[in-house]
Amino acid sequence: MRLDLVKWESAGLRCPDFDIDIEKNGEILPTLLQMPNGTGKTTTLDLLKCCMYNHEFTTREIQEYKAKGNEYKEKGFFQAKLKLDSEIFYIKISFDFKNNKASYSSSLSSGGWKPELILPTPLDKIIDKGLVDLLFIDLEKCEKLFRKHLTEAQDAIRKFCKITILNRIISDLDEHKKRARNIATPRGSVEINIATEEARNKDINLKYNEIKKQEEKCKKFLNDTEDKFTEYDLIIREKLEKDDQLKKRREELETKKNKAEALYQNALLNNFNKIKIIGTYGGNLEKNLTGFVEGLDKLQLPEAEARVFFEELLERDHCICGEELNEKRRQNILKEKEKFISIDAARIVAEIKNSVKIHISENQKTNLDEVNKVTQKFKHEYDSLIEDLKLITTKTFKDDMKIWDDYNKLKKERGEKEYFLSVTIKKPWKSIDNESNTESLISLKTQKELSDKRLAELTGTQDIEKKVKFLINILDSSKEEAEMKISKELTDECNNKIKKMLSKDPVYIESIEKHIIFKDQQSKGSTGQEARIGIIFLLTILDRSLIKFPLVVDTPVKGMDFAGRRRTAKFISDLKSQFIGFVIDSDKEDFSDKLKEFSNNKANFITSYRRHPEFDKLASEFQMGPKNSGNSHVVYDYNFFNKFKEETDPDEL
Amino acid sequence: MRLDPLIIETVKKNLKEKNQSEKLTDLVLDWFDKKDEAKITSEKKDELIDKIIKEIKI
Repeated sequence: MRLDLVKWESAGLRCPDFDIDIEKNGEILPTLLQMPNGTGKTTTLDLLKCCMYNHEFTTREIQEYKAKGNEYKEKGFFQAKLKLDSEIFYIKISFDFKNNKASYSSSLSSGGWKPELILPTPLDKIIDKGLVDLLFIDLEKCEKLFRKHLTEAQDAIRKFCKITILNRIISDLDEHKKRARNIATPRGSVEINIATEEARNKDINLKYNEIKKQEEKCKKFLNDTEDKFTEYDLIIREKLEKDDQLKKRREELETKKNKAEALYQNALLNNFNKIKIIGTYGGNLEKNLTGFVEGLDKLQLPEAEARVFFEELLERDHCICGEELNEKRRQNILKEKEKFISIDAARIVAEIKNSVKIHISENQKTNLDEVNKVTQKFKHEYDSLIEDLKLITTKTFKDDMKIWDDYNKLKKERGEKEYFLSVTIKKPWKSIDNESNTESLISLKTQKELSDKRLAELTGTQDIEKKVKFLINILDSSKEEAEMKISKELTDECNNKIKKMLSKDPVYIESIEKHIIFKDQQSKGSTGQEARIGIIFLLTILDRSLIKFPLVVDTPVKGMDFAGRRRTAKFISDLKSQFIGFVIDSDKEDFSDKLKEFSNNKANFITSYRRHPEFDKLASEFQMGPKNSGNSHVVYDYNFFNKFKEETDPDEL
Repeated sequence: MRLDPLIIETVKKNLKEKNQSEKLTDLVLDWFDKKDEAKITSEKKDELIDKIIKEIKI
């Protein structure tokens, strides 16, 4: 599958009215598009992305696309022409600024214009916003590939290497199993059991999907707040370090508080362990306990045994006292029947009675009052130290309490999300778990398997269930194994490129699992480093993938030295997918000329600018001046591209 | 097929390790191919899955 961006045009938007043809003599070549700052690079990139998936435009977004001042028009549009293998299709986004509306229309080769976004089926099946964000990328914003709570790098591997197909196959197998169960559904009483279990199975699935969504939300929250939290952390640390005396006092208190906390927790645990041994308590409690057990002895029969007795009684004509059993008496018996304790309660009562029987005669009694006193003493010490710490914090942050409060609020929220991701959803399955009392994905998965097994038994489809499960397990483990191997190969390939491209400042990759991890325990790269590694990763994965999608990059050589630029030009010239790079005049040195050289002149160099006398004059010198009065001009010429330079800030003229 | 060759190799290896027949491997890979190309109708897919299930030996 090969997707190419052939052309796009825009009118009535905040960017000039461009009509940019990427095809050169019928060929799609690596393209550098020079657009001076303020010409609409970001707008173009954003709208190109929106052409690839159904984007819900907000009123604010629509207003942001509106042309300003005397260029304002009530309506505008952006249209992209694309080619999927040999099929040409168009996507158009129309803006109605007066009524704050944006709408899609599209035209596939199989039919005329339709008033909605329709992509060719094979493309529609694999493309989504996540993929589009990777393919149409501003390298200054590629941090998602590197953030520990996000899985953008892993998702890219899964999509480009088509690991996702295995998930679709697994889902088909699951559906097939369900259909087999439906066909085999027996009638009668089993039918009710099947319906109940099917409903439960459905509830487990719903809960699983709900928790999955929650998991994504937590990850997003942690990623979105990471920079803010780091910033707060830095401010707080600076403040705490500033006053030596306060810092020393705080450290002392922290140490004491930690000790007091450990002692308090230890006392609580000790207390709890003693309470658990029923029957060892001394003092008044001993008497109370003896009375309590006597009371328990008087309790009636457990429910199950009582039920048998009463049911047998109800079947008789006469009561055991010899009286005839009329309706009123039968009702009384039924009422009495409900008063007896359940089997679970009976078990607990038996445990208590047994424990008291064993321990009541022991000589060494536990004085719970004494144990409680010790616990309270530790708690008091701990609480006092917490108060002291609060006081010292108020003193340190007296002018900035808001920062301290905001920091703590965010810390607490992040802590809760991190706990959810690392503990809650990973709790092991327990036999008492059901879909309502757990948020563990592991438990829900096991519950689903058990429910499937039960359904298979009820419907007599155990053979299909077993075989499907067998195949799913093989596919699941193959998926994990293949993903690991691909990640390893990609890491090695990226590091080879890094060695060549970033020879003076190489930052190597340790691994690519959920996200890209830097070597040497460097948790986070600079924006420049992330941009450089980001493009290396994308070039590598696109090169490996058998899906050839366009890579559209804003500032492809951001922060690179000249050697890095030359290497990037080489990799782009070798790339089998389409490449479009948005550049400004300062990006060209040792990059555009090298791309021309490495591609044997088979590259496309386009300059598009908002009309200005300075640029028009230059274009006329190349006999390529504008022939109309529009607000933009596009020049398809390498020499012009090379010469084009913003000598003066247009606003100053 | 546009699946990464490593995936195909891994699935082949794992089926073989579980003593499954070459016919089953071929059927599974055929399914991958058809799924990838979106060239399979529900009826054909059901037929293919039935064949696959029959071929599984456990």
